[in-house]
Amino acid sequence: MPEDKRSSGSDDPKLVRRCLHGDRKAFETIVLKYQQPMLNYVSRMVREREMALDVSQEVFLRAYAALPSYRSQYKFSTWLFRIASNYLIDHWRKKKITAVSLDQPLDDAEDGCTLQVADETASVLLELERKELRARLEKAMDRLPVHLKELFVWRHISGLSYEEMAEIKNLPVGTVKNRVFQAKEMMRGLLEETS
Amino acid sequence: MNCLSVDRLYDDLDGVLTGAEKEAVERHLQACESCRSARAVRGRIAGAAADLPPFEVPPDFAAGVMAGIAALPVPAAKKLRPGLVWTAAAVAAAGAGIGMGMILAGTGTAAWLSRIGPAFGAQLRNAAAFAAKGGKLLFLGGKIILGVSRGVLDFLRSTAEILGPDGRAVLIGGTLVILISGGVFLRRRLPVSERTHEK
Repeated sequence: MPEDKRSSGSDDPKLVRRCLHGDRKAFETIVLKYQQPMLNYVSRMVREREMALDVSQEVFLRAYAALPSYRSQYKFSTWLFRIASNYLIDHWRKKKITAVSLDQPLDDAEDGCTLQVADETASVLLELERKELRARLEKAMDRLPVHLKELFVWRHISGLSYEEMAEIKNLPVGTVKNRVFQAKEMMRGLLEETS
Repeated sequence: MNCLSVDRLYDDLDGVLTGAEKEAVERHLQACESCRSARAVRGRIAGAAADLPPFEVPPDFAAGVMAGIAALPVPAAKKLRPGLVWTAAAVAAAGAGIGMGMILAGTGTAAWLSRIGPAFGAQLRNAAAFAAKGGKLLFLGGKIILGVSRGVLDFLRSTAEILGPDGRAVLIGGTLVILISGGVFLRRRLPVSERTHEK
């Protein structure tokens, strides 16, 4: 994960060891370190602020209880995201949320995009276009199947690498790349629909 | 002119192309309006996604998590089972004892082994005799269980013949009811799973 989005995870195993020796303050350090990326991810997945807070809190509680199972050869962040991802899968299973079918055809026409390039000189217009695009992006994300949405969020919002995503989902890197590609192209198709 | 694949455009946006590959892509983009437009669109979407505002974390979020954690026990690192520890300790102590014995005897390993050889052989014979007796006992036990099972089966067969089809049905039904009631009773009385950290 890029440094500008999250700090280094090299001291995480040390913090985990301190937690296992009863130092709860060490876990608070972990929470403070990961609350922002966790809430960025969860809030994009559940879309309701209060629910995002509840889910994230539960994820941290589960992570705390599961600390003995953490192995320091893995990145703590990927371990934590795996707990969150599994929790969300359970959450949706209980709520019986149905995902959009993957059989839905994607529009692969490369020159069919209707998003217009804003005039570089008109900064106000450009900002307006950016805001509008962000709003449309949020709406389009909600129409993605959850498993593609999750990968899209991790790749473009959390800034995870394909290798990290593969580790979290326990999938080959090639499969993850393929799914991210699908997610991005589906997003483009959805954005075109709404333009 | 062969247009760039969408995959290639994403690789370019991800910055994973080598110098030569990037140069080739740039050369093509300069000449191809269609690919330039396709790349620009995908770049804008990725840029907009990365620009989405971060979630505003309430200042008391971590405190809330820590309050929840205060109610949980300290997660203990997996410990070795006491039996395993004692076994390992006994093996280590035996090894140390043998080593000390060898040092005190002032002999080499070969001489020491030849000295303990007869005693060790006798112990081995005793152990083999003990194992053979154990095996014989197990065989006899099996024979008894087999005999009893045969008796029970014969009894059930003759009872079924006396009862006839209706009586058999009643007997099977009754047995099932007793078994199910027993299962339900045990399920209620015994904890099936530990529920921890459930909200």
